[in-house]
Amino acid sequence: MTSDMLRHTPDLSDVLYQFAIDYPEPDAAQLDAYVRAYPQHATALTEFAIELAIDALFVNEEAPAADLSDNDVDNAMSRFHNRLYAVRAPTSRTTEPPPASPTNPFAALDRTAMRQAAQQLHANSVFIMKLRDRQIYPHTMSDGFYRAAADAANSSLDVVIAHFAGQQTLAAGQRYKSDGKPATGAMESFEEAVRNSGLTPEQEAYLLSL
Amino acid sequence: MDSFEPIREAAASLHAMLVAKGADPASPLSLVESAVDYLDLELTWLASDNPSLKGARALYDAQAGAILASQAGALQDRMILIAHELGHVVIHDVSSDCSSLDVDATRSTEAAPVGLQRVEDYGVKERRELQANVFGREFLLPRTEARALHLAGESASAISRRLDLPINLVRQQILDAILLPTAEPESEPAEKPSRTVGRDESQIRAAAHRGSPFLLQAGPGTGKTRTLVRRVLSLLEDSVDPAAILVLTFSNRAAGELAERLAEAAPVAAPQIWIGTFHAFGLDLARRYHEQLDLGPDPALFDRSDAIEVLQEILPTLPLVHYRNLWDPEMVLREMLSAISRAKDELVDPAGYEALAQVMLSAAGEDEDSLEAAQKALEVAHVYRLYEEALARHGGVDFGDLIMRPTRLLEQDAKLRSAVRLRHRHVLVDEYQDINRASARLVKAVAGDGERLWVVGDARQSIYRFRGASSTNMVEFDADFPGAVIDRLSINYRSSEEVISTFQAFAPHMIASAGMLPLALEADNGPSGLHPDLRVFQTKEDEVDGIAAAILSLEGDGVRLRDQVVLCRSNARLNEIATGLEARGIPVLHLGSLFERSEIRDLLSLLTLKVDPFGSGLLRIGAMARYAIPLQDLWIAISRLRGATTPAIESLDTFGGDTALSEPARAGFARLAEDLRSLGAANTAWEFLSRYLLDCTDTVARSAEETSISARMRAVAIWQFLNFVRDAGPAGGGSPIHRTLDRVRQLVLLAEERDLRQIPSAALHMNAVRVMTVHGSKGLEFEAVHVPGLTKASFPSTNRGERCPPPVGLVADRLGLGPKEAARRAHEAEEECLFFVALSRAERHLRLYHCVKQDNGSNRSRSPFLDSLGGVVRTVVDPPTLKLPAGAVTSHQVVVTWPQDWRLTDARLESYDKCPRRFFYTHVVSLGGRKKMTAFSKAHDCLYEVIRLVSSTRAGGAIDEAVIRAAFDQIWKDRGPVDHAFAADYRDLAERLLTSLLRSGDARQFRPPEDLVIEFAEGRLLVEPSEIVELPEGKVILRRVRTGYKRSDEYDKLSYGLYHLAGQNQFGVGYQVEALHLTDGDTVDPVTLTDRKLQTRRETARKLLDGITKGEFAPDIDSVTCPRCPHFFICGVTPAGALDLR
Repeated sequence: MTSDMLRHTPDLSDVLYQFAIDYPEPDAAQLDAYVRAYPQHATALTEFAIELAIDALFVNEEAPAADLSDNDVDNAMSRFHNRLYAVRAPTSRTTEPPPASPTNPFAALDRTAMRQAAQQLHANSVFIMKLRDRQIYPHTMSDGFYRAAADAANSSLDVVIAHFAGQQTLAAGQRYKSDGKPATGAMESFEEAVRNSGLTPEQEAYLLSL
Repeated sequence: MDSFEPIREAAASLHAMLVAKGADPASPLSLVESAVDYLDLELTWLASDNPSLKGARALYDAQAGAILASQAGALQDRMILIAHELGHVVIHDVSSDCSSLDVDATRSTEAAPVGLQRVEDYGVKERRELQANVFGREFLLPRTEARALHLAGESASAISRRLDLPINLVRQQILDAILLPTAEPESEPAEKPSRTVGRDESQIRAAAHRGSPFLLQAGPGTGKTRTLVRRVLSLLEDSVDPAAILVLTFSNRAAGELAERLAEAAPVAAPQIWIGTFHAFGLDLARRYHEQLDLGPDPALFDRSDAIEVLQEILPTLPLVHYRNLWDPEMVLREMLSAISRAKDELVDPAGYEALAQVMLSAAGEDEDSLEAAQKALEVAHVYRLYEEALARHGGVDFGDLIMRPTRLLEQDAKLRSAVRLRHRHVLVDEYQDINRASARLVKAVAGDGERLWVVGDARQSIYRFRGASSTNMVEFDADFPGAVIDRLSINYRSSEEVISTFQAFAPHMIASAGMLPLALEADNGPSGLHPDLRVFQTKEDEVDGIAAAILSLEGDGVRLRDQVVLCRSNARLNEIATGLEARGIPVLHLGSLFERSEIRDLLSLLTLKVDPFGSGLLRIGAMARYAIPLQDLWIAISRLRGATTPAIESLDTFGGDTALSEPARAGFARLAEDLRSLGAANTAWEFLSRYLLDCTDTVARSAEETSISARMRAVAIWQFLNFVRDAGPAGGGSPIHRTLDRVRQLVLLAEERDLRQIPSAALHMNAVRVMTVHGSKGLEFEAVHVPGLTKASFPSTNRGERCPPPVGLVADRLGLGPKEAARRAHEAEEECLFFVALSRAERHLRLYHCVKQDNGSNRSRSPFLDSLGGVVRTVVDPPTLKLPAGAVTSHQVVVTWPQDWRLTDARLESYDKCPRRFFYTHVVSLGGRKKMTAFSKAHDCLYEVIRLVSSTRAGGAIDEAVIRAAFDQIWKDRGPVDHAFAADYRDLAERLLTSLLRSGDARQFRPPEDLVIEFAEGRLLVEPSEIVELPEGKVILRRVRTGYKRSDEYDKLSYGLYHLAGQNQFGVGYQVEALHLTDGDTVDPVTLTDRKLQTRRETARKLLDGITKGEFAPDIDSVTCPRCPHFFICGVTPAGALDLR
């Protein structure tokens, strides 16, 4: 079902793209298979599949597939891209292809390690959680901060950069009722994130100096 | 044990430990800070819009060990917030995010199961929030602490002020601590040791099934829930996204149990699984797609009593002919509402209903019965349409809509259907036999071809026919989902081989077995050597003697009372047996009808003082031990309040110093006035009662002193009642207390209070015999089961038919039986299922009972069900009994001294005949008893006034019709229902009746009304004929004028007998009796009675007179009459002392 390429690059947008190619009119079984392969993207895949399915129904309703005009196809493609765009995180600052390995260097830390990381960064757990949950616009972070964050997470600079450029994830335990779309936190600039984490003035000053 | 108990223990021990380490128990801040410190957490306060909070008020991040909380709000509220999060830390230790709706430290562990609370969400997330709330309040104020403080004399308000905790938190903790029984420390194994459960091939096969629709037939005790949990775990192991799993249950109880078991087995995945009832899922869909459904984002939910109000509102516009009943419009509305709800169960909308009715009409031809049936159906269709329009105007939905509307939407809208199917890719349904057609269609809409659909049920346990449930959905599963695989569970883990043989012997005779796989269960427990037995008695009373003896004998053999249950077919018999067992000294775990319990009526009577100027409630309050006001004094006090215009609570002070009252009475009134002094400002029933119980009096504290089971049940009842008044958010006009009181009546009248009879789970461990209906026993199991009343017409019960039967074709009728016959068959099938359920609750001991005589001495046949059990059940020869001890019957006797001029009239005697207690309140004590004035009762009162006027006028000679009509006009303007939307109809009706009355006097001579005296040995009776018509030769006609219709048994009423007796007495043979029923036109019926009947009436009258003379005023309890009686809240107890009416 998925291409070899995807196995090595399971970034969300690639996964969604490949899914759309594989299953322009997805059904539950096909979605299940993808979610099984990419459990970390379960929610985004589900939302995306629903958008695709609904779009497919629009197209089928509006004109029989056999004689689609170019215009119809353009419209459908345009809708598809809009949907894809909507599901994607806010754009990253570069136009480069997505990084190869969006491993979350903060997600693997245990409580002690997380606090050590916080201490090392002159921050607190709230701030580390923002880093973990990719709630800070990467283009607002300084290179010095990238380096410090990589050190604190005991990770390489590439990994940290790739992580921050990735899609926001959902914390476990989120609510899945009513709208079916659990809320992720709003994005902040680096400075806002520093100011809004309950840090001491000294901690704030340190982080902003990086 | 109550599942909240370990949570409370954890919270209390954390509290105790922190206090031992130096935290200040009187400071929530100190407690919370110490806990954060001790648990090695990081607590950060953030602005409420901080993105880290992700829209929550507080969240716990398990990875970071951090609690993030909004800094908005008072310190008190913020401490509660953190205490709540500490709950998530200690109990769940998974990340959580909590909105302000999630955090409510006062929320009761059990939602009052009435009205909207029934759709309460029971998902894992909701369950966890409730647990965290319970943890939070127990941590801040452990129940042992709350109990000790309150028992030491500190009121709830004082505790709240001193500890800086919200008053409602303190109240709830004291109520939980004192009113609910203390948990027993014993630890029971959660599951019984089993020989086979781990390798139950049938369970493993069912859990592992993939690739096609699957129906699992799960006989009693086969581990249905366990298999369902296994199935979910197997999907999770298969890397299925938990958010794609939808588990639908029939009852909240089942949803709660599943949520708990899954949370235990899969703590991280479980909160993402959608678990809940069909109605909760429907509501979720209705909220998701509210725009498409033309609803607001959070549509108002209308329960039955709200729906009745909607119908009452539009009553004037309802085109009623066959169902028109001005005398008692509400009764008809109830029936119609059931018909509408039935239609919704079948996804039939007003247009569909009308179409079915039209078909009936076309097919009816000349046949009068068929024509009437069709016209009635058309009438319901019209009402249905208008009801839907009214609901839409209110932006509301009723329970039926929660299923019907989303289902129809999904069926019509391919896009939404596709979205829902992609979101809920794995659908599991519990209790499939209990779902109705609408729910089955919803399942179909969500599950599509059913490739990932998995349902479990047992057609033989389908007992909710009245909710439209139909086990046909089981039979039709493979038609609904072609390619379905049907399998069954094969090991029973509950019962002994002997018990299993009993219900298995019955199974093949059941209608519900058609189309099911045969029942062939293996007993995991093997044989017990104990045979189910049948015990036969003479009378119903003997039967209770026999049950009592059997219970005690089993107890002697080591079966604890709490492991025994008596299962009754009807609530009425249940109450009799519960009362009978208690009278024989056997503790019973039974609340009965909550609002008819003595301690609850005390509280209701107190509430009435806030709304009733005449102070009728005092007649009950005076009997409370705390006040002990003699009856005589209450009578005097109440007579002083006659004509009062402000609520009685404001007049209480005057009685404390009233020298006409006895010393004890003055003391009692003074105490009452003092108790209620600060409650003038309490506007809701919850505020009034919780302050009365916890601040103003030591009522709750004192209840802690009593330890008997019946005293504990009284405490539990108060807890349940407060839980109800807290949650009950009654709609409608008037003060909140008024609304609560009205709602209580309405709930009883609509039989919607039944769920309040359920014992809160915190009280279930008490060592007392459980007594419940078979319906209530679904899903439960007991070591010993007693099933009484196995007679024909009791179990199975008689099919009463329906007042508003569904039109032909509304309900699927596979066998082509026609609606009546299909309904009869469905009734039979359900009765069989009930019997099957009753038998299969037993683990080891099964006792069946019946008696052979009715109360009136005629014979009763045994239940035909017994014949199907063959030789499995052994009959006990000469079964043991336990007789009622002498003096165990409650007396309702009052010594009354009557005044010289007290008149016992025929109308009063008739009132005594209907209900001696009501007679006592109305005619002896002369309670002002404000009945609720409906449009009808106003019209009725006007009519009787004009009847009296006409009678007296024409007795005086010629009558001027214009004068009478003008007088009536005035009466109507003064007291008629002129503001009612129905006013014109009522006026028309009244005019019509007045005309009938006037016509009936044409060419007749009337005598002035006079009292006709009958002297009985037991006393003197005055008969007041409505009119006396003079005939030639000195003969007379005694005429009785009634406004209503003539009933079929009209002339069997006592009154006509009394007319005759009075006539004989006064006029010898020179009289006749006639009846005029104005609604039936101006025809008059001569009424003759046989000598034998007359003799019976004479004896009845003497018996009644004797009862009155002796002061016997026992209530005649009736589920329809009582809730409408003005004395409903005060009924039952009599204050001490005699009553001198002179």
